[in-house]
Amino acid sequence: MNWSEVWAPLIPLIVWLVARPKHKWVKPVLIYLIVAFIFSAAIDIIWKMQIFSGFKEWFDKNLPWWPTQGGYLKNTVFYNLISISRLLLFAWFFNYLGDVFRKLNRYIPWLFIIFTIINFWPVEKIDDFLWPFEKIEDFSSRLITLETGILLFYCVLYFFRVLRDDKPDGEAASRQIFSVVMGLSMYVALNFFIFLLYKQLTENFEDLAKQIWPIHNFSNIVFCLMMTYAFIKK
Amino acid sequence: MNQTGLNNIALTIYIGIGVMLVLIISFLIAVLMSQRRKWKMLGEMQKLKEEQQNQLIEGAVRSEEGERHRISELLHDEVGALLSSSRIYLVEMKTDQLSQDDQQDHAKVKELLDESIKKVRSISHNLHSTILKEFGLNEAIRHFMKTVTGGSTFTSMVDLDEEYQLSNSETDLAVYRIIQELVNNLIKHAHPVQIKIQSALGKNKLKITIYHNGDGLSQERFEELRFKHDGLGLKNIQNRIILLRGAILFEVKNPGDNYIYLTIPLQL
Repeated sequence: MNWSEVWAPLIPLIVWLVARPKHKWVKPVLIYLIVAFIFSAAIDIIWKMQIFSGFKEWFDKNLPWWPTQGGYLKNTVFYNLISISRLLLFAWFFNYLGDVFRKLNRYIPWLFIIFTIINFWPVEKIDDFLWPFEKIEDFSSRLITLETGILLFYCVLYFFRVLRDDKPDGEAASRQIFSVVMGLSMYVALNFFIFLLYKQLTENFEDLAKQIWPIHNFSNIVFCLMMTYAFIKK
Repeated sequence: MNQTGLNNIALTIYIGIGVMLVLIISFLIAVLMSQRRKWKMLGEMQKLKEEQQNQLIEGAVRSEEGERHRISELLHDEVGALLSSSRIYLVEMKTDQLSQDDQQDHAKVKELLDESIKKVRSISHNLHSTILKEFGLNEAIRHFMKTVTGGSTFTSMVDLDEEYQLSNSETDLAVYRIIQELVNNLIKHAHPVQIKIQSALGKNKLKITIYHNGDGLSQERFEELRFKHDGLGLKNIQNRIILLRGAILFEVKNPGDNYIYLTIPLQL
């Protein structure tokens, strides 16, 4: 599971390079994989390389503003960025799956962006305000849970649509799209409670947080494999 | 917080994850099962539609054959008989007392009448081949090719598998009609110098190859043409192929090196 967040998106990316599927829905999925790969690589590099001498010093010298905690470089901003990208890109992906998603996409991504801006509004003294602002460099359980909740709602809606549709051979019900939604639904369903409580866990029960994080990594691998299958399947 | 509190939180998280997992897996199973059921239903509907289409085609082909038979009988029994009677009267006419010019006209009328009788008989045979009924498919194809080659600008070669003795008269008739239509089309549109028809009897199937060196028709062009309003002949060919559950393939190997492959399953 070590470095799995980095190598897992590489599997569908390599398959994409070979198979070059031409469907419209491939674009958002592909962009997500690239974004996920870059940010996950940044997460693991920052966290795991700082034990080597010279790495942290380089940051202190060249990026003195980079946030730290307990003397360690923080990487949690990338989790927030992956989460924002995931929602926007998969909202785009669902756009291709029918009118109901197109109607939802008129509001939901915008509301999510507004929520994100408000949530991370840069204020000096966070405790002075009624609204509990968060810093973008901190892992935001609130943002990521909302994102997984919205995506879970989209997935369930998609399943209902497929169930209600009389024709099993429509594009939306194709095996490729179905496997992407299946992977996404497994990922968001398994991680909903993890993301919901993760901030609390890292602050108060670090060991438990470490213990449950492999579930996230496992579901991420399954998600990437489902996207790989979607790219391979003709 | 003590160990019990920690365990409670861990348990709550695991239960939450478990519940979500069960929910999503239930959804997936429900969707997959429903899709499977729908595919099964779609397959059955497709089969039913196909059967219905085949029945319609069969009806159309039967009615066309019936009409051909009726017209053929009318031509043969009515028009043919009238022409033959006219010829008898014409032959019996005394021409000795007629002038030179009238005698020439009489001979011309007799010649034209003979030609008309021949034509009517040929059309009647074309519409309803008695050779096919009495001597089988191979003989009917040979006779047809001999007829169309006579007096034309192309040569033909027929090499048919003699083992084919069969069969179901409807299959033979459909195959005969397909070959008739294909050859007529070749003469009309491809302008070949040579047409070659070969047949080979395989295991439960008859394979017929038509070679010609005229302007070839590719499979794509055939698919295009058969949906055109004026492509009635090609549509008829396709209908008969569907009815026989056979296959037709057009291949242009090189310019002037064209093949049409027919595969007809047989119920021996």
